[in-house]
Amino acid sequence: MEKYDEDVYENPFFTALQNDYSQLYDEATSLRCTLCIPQYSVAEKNRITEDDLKDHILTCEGDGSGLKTWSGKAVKIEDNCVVVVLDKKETKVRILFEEAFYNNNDESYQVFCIEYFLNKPAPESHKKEEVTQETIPRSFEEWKALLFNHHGGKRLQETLDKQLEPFSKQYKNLATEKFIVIVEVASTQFTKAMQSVLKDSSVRRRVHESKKEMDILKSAVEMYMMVSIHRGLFQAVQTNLAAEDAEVNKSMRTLSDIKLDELGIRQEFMYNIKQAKKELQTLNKYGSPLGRLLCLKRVVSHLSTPIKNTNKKDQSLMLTTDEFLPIMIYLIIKSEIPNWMANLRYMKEFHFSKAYNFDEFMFYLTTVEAAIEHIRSGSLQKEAIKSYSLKNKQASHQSSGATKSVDRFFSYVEGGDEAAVRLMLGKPNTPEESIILQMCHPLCSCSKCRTLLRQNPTEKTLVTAYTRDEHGYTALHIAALHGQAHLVDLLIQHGAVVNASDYLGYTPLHLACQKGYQNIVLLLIHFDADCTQPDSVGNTPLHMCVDSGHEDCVKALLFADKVRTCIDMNAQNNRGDTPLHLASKWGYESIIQTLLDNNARIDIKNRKKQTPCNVAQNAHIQKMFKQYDSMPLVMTGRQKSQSLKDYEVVSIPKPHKDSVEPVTASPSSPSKLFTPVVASLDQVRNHKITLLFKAIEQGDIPLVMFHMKWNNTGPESGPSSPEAVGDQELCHPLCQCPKCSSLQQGSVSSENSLNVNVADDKLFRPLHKACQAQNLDLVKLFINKGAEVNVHTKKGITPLHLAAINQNTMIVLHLLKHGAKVNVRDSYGDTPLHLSCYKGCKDSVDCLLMYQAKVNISNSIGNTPLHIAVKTSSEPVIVKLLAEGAYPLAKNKEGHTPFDYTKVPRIRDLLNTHITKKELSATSPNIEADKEIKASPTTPDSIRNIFASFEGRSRENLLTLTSSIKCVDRRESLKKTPEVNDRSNPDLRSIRHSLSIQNFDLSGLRHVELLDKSEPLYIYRLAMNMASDDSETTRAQAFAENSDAEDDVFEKTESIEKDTKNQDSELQDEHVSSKSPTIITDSKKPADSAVEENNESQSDNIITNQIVNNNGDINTNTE
Amino acid sequence: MADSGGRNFSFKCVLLGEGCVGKTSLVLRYVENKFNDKHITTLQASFLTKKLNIGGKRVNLSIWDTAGQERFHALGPIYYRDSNGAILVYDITDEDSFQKVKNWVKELRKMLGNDICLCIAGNKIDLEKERHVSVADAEAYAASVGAKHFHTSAKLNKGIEEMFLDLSKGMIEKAGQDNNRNQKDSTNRKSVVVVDDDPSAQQKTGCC
Repeated sequence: MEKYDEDVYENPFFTALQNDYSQLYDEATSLRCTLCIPQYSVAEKNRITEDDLKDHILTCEGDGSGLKTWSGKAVKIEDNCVVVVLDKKETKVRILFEEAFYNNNDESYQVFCIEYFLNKPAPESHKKEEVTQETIPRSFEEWKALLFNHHGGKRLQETLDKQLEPFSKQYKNLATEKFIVIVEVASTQFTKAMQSVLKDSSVRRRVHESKKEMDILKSAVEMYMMVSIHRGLFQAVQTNLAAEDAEVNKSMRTLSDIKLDELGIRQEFMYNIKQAKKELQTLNKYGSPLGRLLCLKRVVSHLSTPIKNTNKKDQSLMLTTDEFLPIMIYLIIKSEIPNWMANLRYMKEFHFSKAYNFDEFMFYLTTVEAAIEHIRSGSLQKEAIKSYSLKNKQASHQSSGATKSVDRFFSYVEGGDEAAVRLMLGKPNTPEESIILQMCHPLCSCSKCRTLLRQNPTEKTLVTAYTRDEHGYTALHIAALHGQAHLVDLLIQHGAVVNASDYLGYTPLHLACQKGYQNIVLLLIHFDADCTQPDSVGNTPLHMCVDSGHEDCVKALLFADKVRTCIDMNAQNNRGDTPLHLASKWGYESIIQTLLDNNARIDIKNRKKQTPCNVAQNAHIQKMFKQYDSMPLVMTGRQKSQSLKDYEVVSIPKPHKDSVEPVTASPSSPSKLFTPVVASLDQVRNHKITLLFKAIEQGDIPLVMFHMKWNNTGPESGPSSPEAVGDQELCHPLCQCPKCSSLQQGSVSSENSLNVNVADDKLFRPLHKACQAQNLDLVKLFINKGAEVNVHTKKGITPLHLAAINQNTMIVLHLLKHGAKVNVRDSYGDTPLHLSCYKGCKDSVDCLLMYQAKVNISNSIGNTPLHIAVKTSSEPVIVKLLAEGAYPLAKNKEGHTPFDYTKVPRIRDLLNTHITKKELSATSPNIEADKEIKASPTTPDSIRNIFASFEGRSRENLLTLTSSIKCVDRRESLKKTPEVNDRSNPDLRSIRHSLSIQNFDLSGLRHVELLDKSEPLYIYRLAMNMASDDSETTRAQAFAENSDAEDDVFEKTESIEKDTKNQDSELQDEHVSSKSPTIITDSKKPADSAVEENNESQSDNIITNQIVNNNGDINTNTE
Repeated sequence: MADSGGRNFSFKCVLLGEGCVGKTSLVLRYVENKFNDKHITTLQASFLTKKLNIGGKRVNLSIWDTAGQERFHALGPIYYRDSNGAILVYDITDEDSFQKVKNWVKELRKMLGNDICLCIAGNKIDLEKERHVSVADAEAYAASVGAKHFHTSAKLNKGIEEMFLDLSKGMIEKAGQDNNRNQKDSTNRKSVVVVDDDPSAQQKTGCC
């Protein structure tokens, strides 16, 4: 802090000693005495005598106990002052600075430059003056006072302001300049300011006095100038260094949860660090570089304050660089200052005065720079991980022999030792089971069996996928934290809870997002991880990965089809920040763009009432927001016209340009920078897709292969389906390791090549296009390459629909062979069969029916395929449909039957014959039932009819009914139930009783039989309890049905509900499900509550009975 | 910074060496003043200054301590750039620390050439019994790379003052040469002091 400086060799006191009393001087210096030299201004005013000199030479007492002057007076040194007894009073004389002198023999001696003579009283005025000069101005006001508080100071300020004004306007243009240009411009400005200040005569006079005054003046001018221009200037600097800052922020945020001990900092510093952190966080409040440097200095002095309550071992807490650097790293990470690079350069390059404590500041800056460099290098991350595993190892070493299996397990997970983890997780039950086998009886407690049980290594079984460590982490957390993607799969297989949260509410997904492991993020999403779950401070996984700047993870979250609908773009954490706030604060431009493209809102305010735009650190980002804000219409317009261009006006390239131009032209300032951002990745991709689809339309197979980046040899060499390849050779379908990604040529993330399942805006995929173009070869190719067969466009159109409507039987057949769902509906409810009938293509109809297409399925206006076939008067199709059981009297929603659509006598005849045939044989009550259900009023009679129809023993009927019962929206129908329970009713009670007996009779469950195993993938099970009337014997029978069938019946069920207000079907549902709850996978409702619901509708008591009876009938029938 | 007829100098001097060789103790011992305890009030040993007056030539010496941990090795250049002198410290009881000094010397010579004055300090000579680095080896090596070698002990306060004095003189000389060559540039901010810390001498910073 010494401000005062002079060359002691020029001091009259010193020269007097050296020249006039050289003998004394030599003697004193060879004895290494300390010389006290009064400062120049004092010394020159006095005549110096030998006594004076002798009073100013301090020698050490022989025993080292104290100091004495040459003349024998006792002297102490305290608080940087020399204390002497003068006129029986203790007087303190301040030491201005000390210097180590070397005489000609290289013998050193100390020289203290002191404020005034030790043996003469100090003049009062002098004392005060010195004091004020010692302290440096603390606030901006003080600096200003220093500059302008003299006669004519106001005028000086005005001229200075006038000079600075144009500059601060100019800064906007600076942002795009090179950094060095900004520095030079500002430096020139500083010189100009100095010139104009020095024109002031009174200032000049003051400065002439000493170099020190000049330094102070320089600092003051710098302070004043920088404070007035910093807003603009710092903006420019920030904008200039935006990319670097974003990079640093990314590394910093990834480490944001670092702990002191991970950096090897002693806990004793904790208190000081807290204070220092508080100070450091104010850094951005200071305008000038000098202000910020002073702030930095205060941080350091906070750090080096002696720590209290340490048993006098202060020495051990000396702040050394070994600790200073890690502490700075820690502080920088924790300070949450988003513009470190800009700050660093600002302090370094714009500190023009370079006068005050320059060396010290440079050291602090260097340390900051080193700390940032270290954070940036990423070695810290590795270190942190290493130290963690080290700690674990140590822990396990400590308990050496009895290493806890839990610790070992976690360290295996951490290290990614798949075999070991598998071993520890694998079949945790076996030991127990094997022991039980050795026992006389599972429940035996003889001494032999007891010892067996005792030996059971229970510890081993302690490790499961649910085990947690001291942070509340499960193994899955640790795998996510350390990027062990291959373990995620394994752990989840072993039952790990995907959404388990630790003490801080982090799920594995949070951790993976924070650390930026895209592959794990994808895997976890694949396993239905909850993407919206907030942690304890309200951060969703999206917050986490935006915060740490992991663009790939952000994209993974946003684009993973599954979550797209449920992820909340605008979720706010406890500070009210949305992901967009965070991205804006840390300056991640590409993430902002991604978020904006996904319709993140830019007008949400956080707790500090800041919008994302307000927290932006640099002009680039603010510009992005403004652009987005000012023209949301144009932006969406762009997207629309783009899609139009891509799919409808492919041949005309012009609209593209036209639509983009307004975006770039409208902002007043030319935004060259912005254009590439607008022309984002999507555009390139869309363009590629357009090209691909064009090639498909033209049937140009080689070109298609080229676009897809498939080798020509591909299809021949690998006739086996790529799905198989994927399953066998990939670590996991979603794995992203180098080996796998090369296998997955068109993986989700690779933006260069197109995926075979790539979709355009309307979700048309190559396979759709190929079907549309009726190119069987391409269809085969795509399917071979792993294209999904059951993909929908936005309108629900599948490739099969397209093939059907194009009457291309071969493609229809090929698609069906590869698992295309035959009863799939588009947005109008049409199945492929409807479309084939519409086209009157008998071959396709044959194919579809061969693959179990539903004949009587109705579309959204209630038309069955027969309606359509009759409309188009396609006789062979009608014949086929009727032969397959189409019901000629089916009514559509307008109440028309197929009859109403034709006047052709032949067709009417055809239909007629079928009606009579059917009615006579009465073998098709299915349709009848359907019809009845739709039309029947709510009389018990009609219901009875329905159930009577079951006596036809048709399994199909049963299925229809059961599925329709199952599909009833329970909640909705419950609301409609007006009656209150009456539990007193004896009938009900008896029913309940019998039901509950049946429910808990588990023996019945063992006899489940699956009737239909043909389509195991789409199976869901329904069960009917085959109880006889007296319910003495219970047997269970399960029915399986294709899920498509369920869909078909669904509508009908709805109509049942409407028409009959049917608590009965509700009841039926409960009835069915409650009878065999363990068989019905969907039913999670406890049986009791189900029964209680039954009771709610007392009035339907009879009907319930009837149902039971009917069921009984059915049972006997089906038997 | 040097002005008034080439009589004022301002030098930056860095201390390099493995952790635990006693860098910090060394510099604290040097800067400390047994009568004036002001340095003790600020417990900060990473940046210290000392004013010297060598036969009328005033030197403002800023001594930059560096972190000795291996993991921070890569940050070295940030610290030693623009320094006039380096003190490389090793621990005479630790062969490895001497090896480390050799690495530093190589690096410094590569990055800064001969612009920098080097001093090698074999620290902890109070532990002479446990010496593992032979005096002859160390001195021969120092001579081969154009550095002065000093035997120091922060504990006994031996050799430290001499070392800094010698280094300062070296830096002044170098500055003088530079001055002749480039009359304008009188600022000599290029001396790196390399201290070979003896690890055993480190005992807590400020072992006085």
